[in-house]
Amino acid sequence: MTAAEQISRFLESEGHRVETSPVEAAGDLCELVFRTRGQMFSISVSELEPTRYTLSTAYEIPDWVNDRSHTVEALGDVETDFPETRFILAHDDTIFVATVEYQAVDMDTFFKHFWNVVSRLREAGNSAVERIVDRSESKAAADKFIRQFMKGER
Amino acid sequence: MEENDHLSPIEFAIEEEGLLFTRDDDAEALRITFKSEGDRYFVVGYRDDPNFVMIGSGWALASDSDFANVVSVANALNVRKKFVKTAIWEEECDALFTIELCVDDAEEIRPHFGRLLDALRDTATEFFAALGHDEPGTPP
Repeated sequence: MTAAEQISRFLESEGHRVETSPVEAAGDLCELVFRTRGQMFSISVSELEPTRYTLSTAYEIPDWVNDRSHTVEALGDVETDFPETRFILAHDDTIFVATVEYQAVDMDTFFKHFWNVVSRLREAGNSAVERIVDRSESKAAADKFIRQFMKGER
Repeated sequence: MEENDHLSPIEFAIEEEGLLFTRDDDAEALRITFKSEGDRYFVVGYRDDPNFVMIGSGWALASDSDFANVVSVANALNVRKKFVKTAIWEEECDALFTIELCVDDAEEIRPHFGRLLDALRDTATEFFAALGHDEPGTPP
């Protein structure tokens, strides 16, 4: 049984629907997509390295966040807090992808820690969203204050 | 789908969560069982009471549990938590977490199903953390 098949069976045994698709132009690479707690996750695994996995999930950046430098800074800060996680901006900076690479001793060890890894990745992603949004809200509030101040309303 | 299956909107909600499920109906009750992240959950409705829907999960407690403390933790959660009722079945050594709703149509639950699952999951996690366990126990 391939690594992708084993992961698919594991996820189904844990209650989750899984879609598996080979990655074009990379014959040995498979991507498995599943959903948990309202969030889509994908696992990439190559049959050439069946104990090495890449787990990813994407988050939308709210439309009103238009300060790219702040977003990059926030993602960098969260990478410091979650050093196993990498963030990549994508789709014209409308989303960011949180990714963790996992090297397991064997498949059983991977399955044993699987939901903890998912949980940690989700925590990192949520933390990034909070930082992006919080700081932007503060900035918007300050902008409003400054505009009102300049109009002499305060 | 059989006639008068008032839990069918819950099936759609479970599918929308990306989860698999099984049905186990009998003459009196409609039952759905499913797993999420390996943890087991159930949904129960009664054929003679289509307004009642119960979503829940059950966990085994250690047989040497201090049940006075267990009940105290459950009471504290019942005071504090929205939606979720925590019940201790002392003889069976089980903890049962349920959300019991009165609805015109289970379709009303569908858009909130993810939130309700989170509430169940979080309550179980907090319950076992308060008892000094990092992770919930095992299903009964």
